[in-house]
Amino acid sequence: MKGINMVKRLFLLIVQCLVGVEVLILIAVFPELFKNLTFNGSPYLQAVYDLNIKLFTFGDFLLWDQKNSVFPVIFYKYMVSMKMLGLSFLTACLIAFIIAYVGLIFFKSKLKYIKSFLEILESIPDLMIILLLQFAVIIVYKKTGIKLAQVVTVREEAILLPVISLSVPISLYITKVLIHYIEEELEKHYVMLAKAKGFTFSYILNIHVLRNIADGMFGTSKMIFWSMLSTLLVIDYLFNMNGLLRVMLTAVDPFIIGCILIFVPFFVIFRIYEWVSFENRKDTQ
Amino acid sequence: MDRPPYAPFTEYVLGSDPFGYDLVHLMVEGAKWTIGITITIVILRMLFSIILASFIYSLNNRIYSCIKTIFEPFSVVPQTIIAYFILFSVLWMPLDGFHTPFWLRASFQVFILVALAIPSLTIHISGEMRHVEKEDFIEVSRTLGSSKRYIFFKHIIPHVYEKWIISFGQQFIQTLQLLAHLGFMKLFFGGTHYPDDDTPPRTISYEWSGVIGGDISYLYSLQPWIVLVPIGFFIVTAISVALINQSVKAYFENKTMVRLKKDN
Repeated sequence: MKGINMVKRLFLLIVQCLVGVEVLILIAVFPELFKNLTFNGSPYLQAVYDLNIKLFTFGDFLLWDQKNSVFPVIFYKYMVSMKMLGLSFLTACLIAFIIAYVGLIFFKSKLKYIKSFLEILESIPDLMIILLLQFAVIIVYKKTGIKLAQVVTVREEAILLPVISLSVPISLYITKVLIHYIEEELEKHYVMLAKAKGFTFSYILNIHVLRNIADGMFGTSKMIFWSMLSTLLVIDYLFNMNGLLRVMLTAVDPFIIGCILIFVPFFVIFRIYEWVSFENRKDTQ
Repeated sequence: MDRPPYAPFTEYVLGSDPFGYDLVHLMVEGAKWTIGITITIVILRMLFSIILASFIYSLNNRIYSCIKTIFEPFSVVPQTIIAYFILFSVLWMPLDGFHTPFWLRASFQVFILVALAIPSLTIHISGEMRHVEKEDFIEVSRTLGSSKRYIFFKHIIPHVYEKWIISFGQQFIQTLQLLAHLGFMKLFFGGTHYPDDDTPPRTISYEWSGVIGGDISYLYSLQPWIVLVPIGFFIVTAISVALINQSVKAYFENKTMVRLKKDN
């Protein structure tokens, strides 16, 4: 029974992935539909058909120069971008945890102000924060001669500033959500019991509360990932890096391959996570 | 002899751009586009999403999850990438100048920016409606014989309209961010003027993100105020919306508290 269920789920997952890829194809050919701002119905359908054939027979995907193949190149760029994303995500989590812990342990009475301050900071478009950060680095360099970080990639790779720029805007959001979840959890009765038993606050926070909010935090990771990707595009341009997102925007073929490379792995991960957490919840009930 | 760009507090209050135009005037010129267009986009987004959501919220689970799957790519692949990819062929000036009028390009851009957000916003709004629909009082009302339309207008809307107003503000900030990204990648509102490879791209409408994107290289030069002034205006707009949103949220919370107190 369980085996049949597994197969059914796997089949469903593959079908859902294919539907997603089909929607992405429809988007990728979309510029054809409104070429020169007139409505071209049949060339659009023809282009959709062609791209489908090409995708499912593994045809030749070419870069924007119409000569070189997409394939080995795009995987390197993918790795560069994902490395960047992972590194920045960890940094953002680190920043968020530090702010949240300092806020919760030392400034508990002023938490309301910290929260509203974070909300206001979070509303500033990420691009503006990044530009101001870069400007600050330049000002410091001009005034003191200390080079805090490599601003633009020329020969040596700039790593520090891109990672910081990518992680600072998103860390504000993560901090906000983290504080919200922790506060919600602290209201519950078991925290009261633990306090009555004489455990210290930091012990309760680290051992019990953190374990219980992990599930909820993972639920927001989709939103985090989505907004980090759009910031990553800006960073690719700003620091002159050879990322995946930049090469995606040059032509149709890299676009569709890049979209699939982004969409499929994350879709599968989120779906599997949903099943696992659902099963767990069923067990506990 | 002095020549432009003038520094702030010399010729003009906020200085001038490289052509000698007063930056305050440029900002006023662009404000109607940045703020007006953003409000238009957000109103259209909310309107269409609410209409769509009110049709799909009551579908059964299987069809609803099908629709969710179809809309899934829009919540994984960022809006900026899709918007840039679609808008590039329309907004980037061909070598021999534009063949299409400004209003057509502008309305096409608005259409695309509205359409891109509708899938995820519809799922979000209809999810909230479904949540309310599961409550007990809906069941009671249904047993007492109220029609589907009556339940929608009398029970569901009063429970969710506060959330609509809050997500209006969130969408406003998201749209500003989208415009900023597009402007940074040299796709300006209403078209990018790009005569040849030597002259940098310029905005036609003087929308703020376009001014930022066009003059971004001055951030590293000796005249950084040319970029910093529009950035400042952009940030102030975003912060004002965030403050409005906060006050609205506080008002709604306060109202609920008062109602609960009266009931007791």
